[in-house]
Amino acid sequence: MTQHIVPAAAIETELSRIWESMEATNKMRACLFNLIIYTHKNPRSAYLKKVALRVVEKFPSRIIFISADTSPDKSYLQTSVSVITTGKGEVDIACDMIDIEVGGAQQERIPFVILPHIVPDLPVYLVWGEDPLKENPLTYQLDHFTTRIIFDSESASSLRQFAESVLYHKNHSECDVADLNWARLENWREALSSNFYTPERLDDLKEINSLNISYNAQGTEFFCHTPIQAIYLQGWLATRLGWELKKSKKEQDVFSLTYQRNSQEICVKLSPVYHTHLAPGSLCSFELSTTKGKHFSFTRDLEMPHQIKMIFSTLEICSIPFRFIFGKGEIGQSLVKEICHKGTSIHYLKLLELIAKTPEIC
Amino acid sequence: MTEENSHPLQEPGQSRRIVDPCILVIFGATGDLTARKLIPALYNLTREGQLPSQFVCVGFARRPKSHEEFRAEARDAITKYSRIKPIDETLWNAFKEQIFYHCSEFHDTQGYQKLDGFLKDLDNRFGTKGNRVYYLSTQPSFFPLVCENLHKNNLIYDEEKTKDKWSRVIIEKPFGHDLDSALALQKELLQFLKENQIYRIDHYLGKETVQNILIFRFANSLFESVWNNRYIDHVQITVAEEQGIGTRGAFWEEAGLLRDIIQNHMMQLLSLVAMEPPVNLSPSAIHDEKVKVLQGIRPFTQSDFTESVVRGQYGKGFVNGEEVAAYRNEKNVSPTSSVETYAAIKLFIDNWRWAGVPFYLRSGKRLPKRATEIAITFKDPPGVLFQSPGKKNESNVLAIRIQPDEGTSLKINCKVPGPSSPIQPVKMDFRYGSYFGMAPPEAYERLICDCILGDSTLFARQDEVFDSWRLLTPLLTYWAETKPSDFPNYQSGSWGPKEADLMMAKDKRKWRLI
Repeated sequence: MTQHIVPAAAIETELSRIWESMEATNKMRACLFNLIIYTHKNPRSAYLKKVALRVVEKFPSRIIFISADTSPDKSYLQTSVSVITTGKGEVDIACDMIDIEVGGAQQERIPFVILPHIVPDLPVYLVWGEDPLKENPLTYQLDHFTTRIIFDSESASSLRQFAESVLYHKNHSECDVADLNWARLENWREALSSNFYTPERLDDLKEINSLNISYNAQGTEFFCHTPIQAIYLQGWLATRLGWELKKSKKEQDVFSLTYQRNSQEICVKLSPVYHTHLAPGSLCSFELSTTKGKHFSFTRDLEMPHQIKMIFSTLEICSIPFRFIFGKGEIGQSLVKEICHKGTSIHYLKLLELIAKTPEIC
Repeated sequence: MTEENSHPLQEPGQSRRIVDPCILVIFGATGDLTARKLIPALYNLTREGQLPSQFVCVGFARRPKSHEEFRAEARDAITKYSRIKPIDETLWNAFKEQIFYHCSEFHDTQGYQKLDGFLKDLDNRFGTKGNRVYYLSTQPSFFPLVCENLHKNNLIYDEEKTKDKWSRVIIEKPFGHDLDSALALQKELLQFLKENQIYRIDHYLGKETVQNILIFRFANSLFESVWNNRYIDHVQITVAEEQGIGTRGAFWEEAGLLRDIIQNHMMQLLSLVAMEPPVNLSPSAIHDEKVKVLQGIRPFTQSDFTESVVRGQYGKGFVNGEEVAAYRNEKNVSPTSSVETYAAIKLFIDNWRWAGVPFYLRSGKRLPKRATEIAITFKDPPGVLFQSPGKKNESNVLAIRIQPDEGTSLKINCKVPGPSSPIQPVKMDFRYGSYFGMAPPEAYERLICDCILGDSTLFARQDEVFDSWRLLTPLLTYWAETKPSDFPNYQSGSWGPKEADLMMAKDKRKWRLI
């Protein structure tokens, strides 16, 4: 993948030239959708680019990658194009990538630079790698044409405000919204819903009185809001099961939340653990107890992190452990899954409503 | 698209059409159109063997110039603007010998007398047999004057008396600036010419993709069977330009977008998309069907002027990353101008095929990209399967791209591979450039050649022009009487004013992102 720096006006011409030069190389130009990624110029932008490249391995698409330098003293706009080859067979599948680096006052030009390069008739997915709280003309300009905005709660400075912003956006826009951290939880949500599916098990859910979740608090340079997935998962359960939040607090990195359902109090605890080989923020264990002494334990296998061990026990019996296998957790996989969905998850919106009402915890 | 050829050695549809020897005289030969389009078109026609060896081009203009000087300018024009580069020296050396220049004022009778003598001399030298095409690449106000002088000096032949040679006149738009002026222009021209000698050029009709509309529709049973109000939800026709008005400020202040683009190009596209199948491919049969479409368009009511029409004017903004000025700051433009550089119009064609199907037309200057397309959006299937509340699948869209990337694409829904069934829209795409591996010829090449052949299919007939003006003149009158208060109302580099989006939103539709 060679980047060719070109003026903005020459983007399509240069792409055509590159494709013409590859005419005899069995490369097939493909595009399933438009993937626009907006991020600030920081260590996280490299991660998002990696994610984008993984996405086009599965779904060859036109990537428009914008990295913005917000410092006011740097005013520049640089555009470059490249062709990414994704196939490994006789006929390679390849797609276009347009890189835009922008700084300072030039940012106001971005919507006008990218608008001509959106491939018509295909969905436009916008990965918003920055805090949605901050005003940006790009969201306003692109909103009209975007099929789905995929926010990244990791980049938000306040989860509560993030939830408020996304809800506001959803209420004032026609496009669907999603969240990378919500997508990352899909395996866990499936594990829980597939375990609690019989009438008896569903009744158990009504009797929950305690929930303990441990999450990997080992952050990286671009992944530091590690409790988000744990907060999302407990919040999802709370909204699905009709729990009402009573109080929340954070002491020594442990989050404690108290809910009430009918007259039953439910204590939720989110505790950090540290594993360098696990993805930051990923969940390590999930334990439920009921008023009738039933206990459900879901623990990630540290040797094989895409498997979780599930044990069900009562005061009298203990089941044989069984395993739930996640899809291989490759980088970019959650984004791919999120892209395939249609509409906005009602569960996610309900979760955001809860978080927006929760006193600041993250 | 001509009628069956009667030549015994010619096989219709197989043999190359025989082009008569002739002289093409370009009035306004020092103008931009001559350099950018006409001379390169003649060069490429020669290069591809489409013109006979007995062909001569004469430039007619006011500025004194030698043949050699005019040839040097022609060479520069070919070098700069020809679609095939570099210039072929051997070909050029032969071609330049067929290029001449004649200096005269348009009103100078003597100039035409001299022209007559000069052309007769060229007939003798080149064997062009007295056949003439006069290309009026001038201000429209000169059309009657030039035609009168051509007529007076026997440069236009009375076809009833002259059977062995022919004369034709090509005129460039605008054909009038409203219905009355178009009728007046026609009346004047008919004093000197017969209707079948007038070729009103609309270069859109010379584009391969526009010609392909009829083939696409009437040579494929697949599409024509669903080409009606039972299956089509709406049609969008877009002519978008990223450029501003450039140096044409004075012209634009007089014309505006409705006159410059919608009245001619877009109405032609509309009539080709909506017409019924002609009884045959003769020019008259095709023109008859196009006229029926134009006559079927529902006239604007008073409320339509505000509810079904949006006008706009560009403000400053960014195009291709570069800052560009507002229309009112362009050269030769009034700082308080109320001329439109954008228009969006909703039309209905009240006939059996199209009853209830809206046709949305939009065109503008300083939009994000140069693109012309016709998009047919089909009705959604019954919402029984693969639908869930609030999660509507995308509609099927057939997009005919006129320029650039000439071709056709069809948007369909498709299952994403995997155990669940998410649905994703995908696109089947045909591109002329990729499939045929050659750039389509320029519109002017086809149209000049057709005029020499006497084939008027791809030229506008008088009644097409009148019916188009008949529809749009009331709107022009309303605009002239009602000055806009919000101009400029869209930023350069955007897709136009918000009001245009609102017009679509009221119908629960959206403009396409192209």
